[in-house]
Amino acid sequence: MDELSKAASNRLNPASWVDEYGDYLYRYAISRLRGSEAAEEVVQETFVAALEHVDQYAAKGSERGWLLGILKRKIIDLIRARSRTASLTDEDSNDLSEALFDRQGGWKKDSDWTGHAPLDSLEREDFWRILRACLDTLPTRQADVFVLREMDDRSTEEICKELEITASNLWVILYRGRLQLSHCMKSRYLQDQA
Amino acid sequence: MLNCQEVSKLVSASLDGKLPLWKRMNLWMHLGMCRLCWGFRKDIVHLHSQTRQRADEIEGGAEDPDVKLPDESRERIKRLLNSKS
Repeated sequence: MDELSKAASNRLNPASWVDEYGDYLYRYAISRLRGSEAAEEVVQETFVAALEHVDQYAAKGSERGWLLGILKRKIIDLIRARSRTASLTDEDSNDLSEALFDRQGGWKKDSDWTGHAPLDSLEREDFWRILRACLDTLPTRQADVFVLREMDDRSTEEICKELEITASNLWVILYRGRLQLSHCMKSRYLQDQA
Repeated sequence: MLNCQEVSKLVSASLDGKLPLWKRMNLWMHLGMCRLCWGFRKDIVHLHSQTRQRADEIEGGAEDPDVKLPDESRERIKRLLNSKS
């Protein structure tokens, strides 16, 4: 069946979209939102929106790409909504500065960077599993910002605009997120090695 | 001269945009002399590139047998779509 006939028959049978692209969209959504409930919600919203706008599809590019485009918008809408309810004190709750740096601003003797294994010694499969686990230890907005910046590769301007935060606020959030993530990943890796 | 804590902030900022020249010079001067900060930068850059690579894999459709749309959701969505079409 060629692409057009396939599209036509799928249009008449939206349930086949779910079978064909449900897992793909869910995997993408959960990699960004971390929680399965949130991921299921945006996937559902995506299929409903796709059904409503199926005429706009018109075979420009792949079906999967088109659905992914809708999903991406739903994801950022959700992140924006939950960012609004995040309190600014969330970001203060995991300030590692005192734990990692001494009063002169030098690395503390027992901090992760004094002679411990570098992150690139982690195996690929382990890296992603451990990163996911460590993302869960971050305040939601820190994790969301990290995901938008490092996974989606969105610019700082775009993230500031979407989440209605200032550039300096963003840099602090990213700094704390990266510090916390690398600290968490290194300590989990060391535990696994034991 | 910058201390390591200040350098760690510059390292993070450098991933998100170009630092002004004088900051960049101070940063690299410190990194050239400080093994620990060099290690920190290496870790953060690795985190950055590996995360990006993983995102590309997911977008490309990398399989993960452990991560599937739950059956309950799947059926609920199908019912919902059928009721609307």
